[in-house]
Amino acid sequence: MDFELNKEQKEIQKAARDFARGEFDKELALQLEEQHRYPTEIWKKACKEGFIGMHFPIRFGGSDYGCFENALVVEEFCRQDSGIGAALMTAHFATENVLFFGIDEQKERYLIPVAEGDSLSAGAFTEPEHGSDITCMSTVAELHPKGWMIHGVKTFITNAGMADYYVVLCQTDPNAGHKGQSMFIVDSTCPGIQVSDVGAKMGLHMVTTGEVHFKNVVVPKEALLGKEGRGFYQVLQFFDHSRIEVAAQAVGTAQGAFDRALRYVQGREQFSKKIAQFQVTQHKLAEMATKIELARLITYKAAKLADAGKVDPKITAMAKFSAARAAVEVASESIQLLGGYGYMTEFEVERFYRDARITEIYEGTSEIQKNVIAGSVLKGN
Amino acid sequence: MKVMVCLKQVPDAGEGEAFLQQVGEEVQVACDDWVLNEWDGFAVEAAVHLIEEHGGESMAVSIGDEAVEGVLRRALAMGVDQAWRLQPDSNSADDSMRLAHSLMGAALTWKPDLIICGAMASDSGNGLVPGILAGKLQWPFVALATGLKWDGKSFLVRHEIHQGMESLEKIGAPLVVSAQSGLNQPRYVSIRGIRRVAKREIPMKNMADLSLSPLQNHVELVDLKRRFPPSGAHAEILQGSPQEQISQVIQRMREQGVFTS
Amino acid sequence: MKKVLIVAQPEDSCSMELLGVAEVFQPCLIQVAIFGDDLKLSKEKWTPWADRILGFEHPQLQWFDTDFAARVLAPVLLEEMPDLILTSRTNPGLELLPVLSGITGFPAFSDCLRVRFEDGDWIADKAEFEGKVIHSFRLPVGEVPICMSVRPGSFQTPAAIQKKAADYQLMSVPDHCPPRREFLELLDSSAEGVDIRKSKRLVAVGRGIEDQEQLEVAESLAKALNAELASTRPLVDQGWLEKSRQVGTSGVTVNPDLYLTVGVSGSFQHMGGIQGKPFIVAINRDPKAPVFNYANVGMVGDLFELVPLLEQEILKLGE
Repeated sequence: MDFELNKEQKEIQKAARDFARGEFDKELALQLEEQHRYPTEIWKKACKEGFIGMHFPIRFGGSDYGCFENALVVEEFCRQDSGIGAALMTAHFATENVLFFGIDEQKERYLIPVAEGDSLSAGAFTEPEHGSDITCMSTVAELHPKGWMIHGVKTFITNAGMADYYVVLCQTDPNAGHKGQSMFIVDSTCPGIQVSDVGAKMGLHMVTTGEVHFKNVVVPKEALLGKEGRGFYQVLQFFDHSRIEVAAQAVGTAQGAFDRALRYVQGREQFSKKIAQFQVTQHKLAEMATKIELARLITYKAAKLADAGKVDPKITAMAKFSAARAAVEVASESIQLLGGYGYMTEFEVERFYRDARITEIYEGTSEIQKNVIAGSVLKGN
Repeated sequence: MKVMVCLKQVPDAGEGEAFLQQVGEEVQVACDDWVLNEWDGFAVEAAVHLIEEHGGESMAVSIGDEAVEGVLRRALAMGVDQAWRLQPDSNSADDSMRLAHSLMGAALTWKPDLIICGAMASDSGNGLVPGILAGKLQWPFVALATGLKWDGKSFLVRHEIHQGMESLEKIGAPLVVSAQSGLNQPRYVSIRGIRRVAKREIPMKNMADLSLSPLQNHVELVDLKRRFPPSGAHAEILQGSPQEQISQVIQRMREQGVFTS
Repeated sequence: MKKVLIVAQPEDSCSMELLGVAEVFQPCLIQVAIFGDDLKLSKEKWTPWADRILGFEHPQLQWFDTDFAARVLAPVLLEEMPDLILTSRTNPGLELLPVLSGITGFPAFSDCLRVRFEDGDWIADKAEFEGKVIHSFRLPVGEVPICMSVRPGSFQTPAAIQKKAADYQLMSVPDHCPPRREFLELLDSSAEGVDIRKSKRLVAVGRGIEDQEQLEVAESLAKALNAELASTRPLVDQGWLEKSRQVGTSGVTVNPDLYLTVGVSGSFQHMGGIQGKPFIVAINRDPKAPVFNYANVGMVGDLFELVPLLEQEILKLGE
């Protein structure tokens, strides 16, 4: 087993770190956070530098890197800023569906603009009645003389209203359950799409989260992504990859909170002593650092397996579940270490905490991850 | 135009002082996280920019073992056209005269119109190599450039002289320039750039490749030990809670008559 | 007897300090090379201190063209073979010294802080890693001439070196040495903006300030203290503060009564711009920061905690 990054991966990590340090400004982050604005300028620059969609093939705008290299970038971005990092990570959300299941025309049309910073993507899977359980969708797609007609409501959609297209999971055969689902790419300009707000949320303030209504939206035949009837399986396969990215987001967010706490305890004095000199602080730091390192290890393992073509849903689920937990715990402990200051927006760790919390929820809650893990263990894997 | 840019890898000072370790009576530099010397980043940007603007070719060189490929690759990813790794002259790899000797070999072989170096290296802080190189080549040398242009015939170099003053000078090729921070804003290393150059072979050039004979009769300074400077030799470090420290500093300032004027 | 040759740069106010280095090698013969288009004043200045003065007088030296100076001086060095060739590590010194070394092949030592004679060896110290470590070298004095640049402020002009009035020798500038650098313009980059050179109180900010908005904390303290804001180089390079506020070898030289540093590491390039004997207060989170070697009083801690507290206390004084 090799625990070293290779030279190229180190360069990628360094490039991401340099970019994040140079571009992610704390005051700007606090402002974007407060005004609920997307970091558009930084996103465009990140695309120009090739960070977004770096795992796409070169001819589709990427650099042909893997899940692992992408995870390194996501980690560095979220470490520098949990909010901007998450916003950049989700800029290409759901594009892996196009990458894995699309035909070349679709890849050209939908991957290149995302990599080049001309469009944002979104995935529309969750429904008001179907959150964790996506075995049956209420959103239906019916055959239509011009192709397909989609009707239904999707909720908690990241980039809703900003995305240029949605990858939508629909029921194409209402009688076939999860075997009757199919995936479609729906341009956001299609008549019949309406986006509404889902209300204020705990974190992730720089990205929109909304409800997308598809009211008899007609899409051409070519909008079908992958095979008819395979939508459910495609989503699962997609999650096996995207969850690694969420795990990387969690690792970076944890590290970022830890960095800030570490800096604080080395400067802050109480009872005539730096608080870093108190054993209670030291033990907290030790526990936090250990949690982060463990989370990083399993996240890297999951990514390596994915890149080797040996995706292991159990390891992926373990990575997402444990990294997300680590992020929440480390960010929470960071707040504690900063005491009253930790509760203040200015000191950032409360934001890291709020941004960390989503990683236990989206793209499959921790409970779903445990189901996956348990299912796999019980089968003897 | 042909522009050669000389690079050095240095310990990553951004990552704290862990690379400086007290071993017995001396401090040793133990580092496996090397980065491009900050000033050299300005030099690379200047080289790439000049070539983008006026056409021609740029080349990065660095002296050392395979580890220096890292900084060369970085320069390639930033847009430098080619890179050579120069084999060190001998074991005393840090000797400025020897480094300049190798670089001279590269310059006489590749024949650039302009050589750009960082003004100094953040580790040694010497700032010797660019000037020694110019002296050996008998080319003019301008240190601490904050502006660099080509007017079609000559280079226009703005550089720092004394007391916050700068001078603008016109100098013909070939010449050596050292880059001061603020000369430009180095571009980021892009992922596409890293990818583009990932598989590039970086040729190694030894003395023979550069038609260099070994440096004759050179006497080196003998490297003795490093140590940490006595910390706070002159400062009285105030103790106590922040509030107590502030009271004390106000008291000291009062004693110094700061508040009476 | 050792032979020391001082290369006196025309605009270098610290060049007399080089005599402090020569003093370590006493008894020694002191030669001083002076440059300019009119050497009268310079000659008078050095006469009591030197055994011999070598005058290089040429119109091209009106502005100190180090390329020209190096090319006219180098042949003289090769002939004279002094044990030590000294010049200040100013900006022109950074240009001149290595070129001399390159032309002559004499080894160079940059930015010397201290020289001592120890167990039969000449040992010189220099700083590395921006002052985090001191590195000693043995100088092969006597084996080969050594070109050495000396950090301004590191040596003191000796109270007395007993020298009879120096011999003066006007050196001829050879014809085959046409100038290669054409001076077009002298630019005073600090001319625009606030002039802090005369300010009696300065609050200096350094890399501890990580973005432009954070400057406010220091600006606010400066206001309370009725002080001007001074800066290190990186913040000026970032465009956060005007060049006229940059103190140091590449910026302005200041002469205040109070110099309060906030997040300044204390590189010599910065500290070298402080003249006189101000009361220096340093606030830095790193107890090893070189600034504490210059400061009178230091506080180790978070500037965002300490500076606002200090400001409050000062405001309470109702100054």
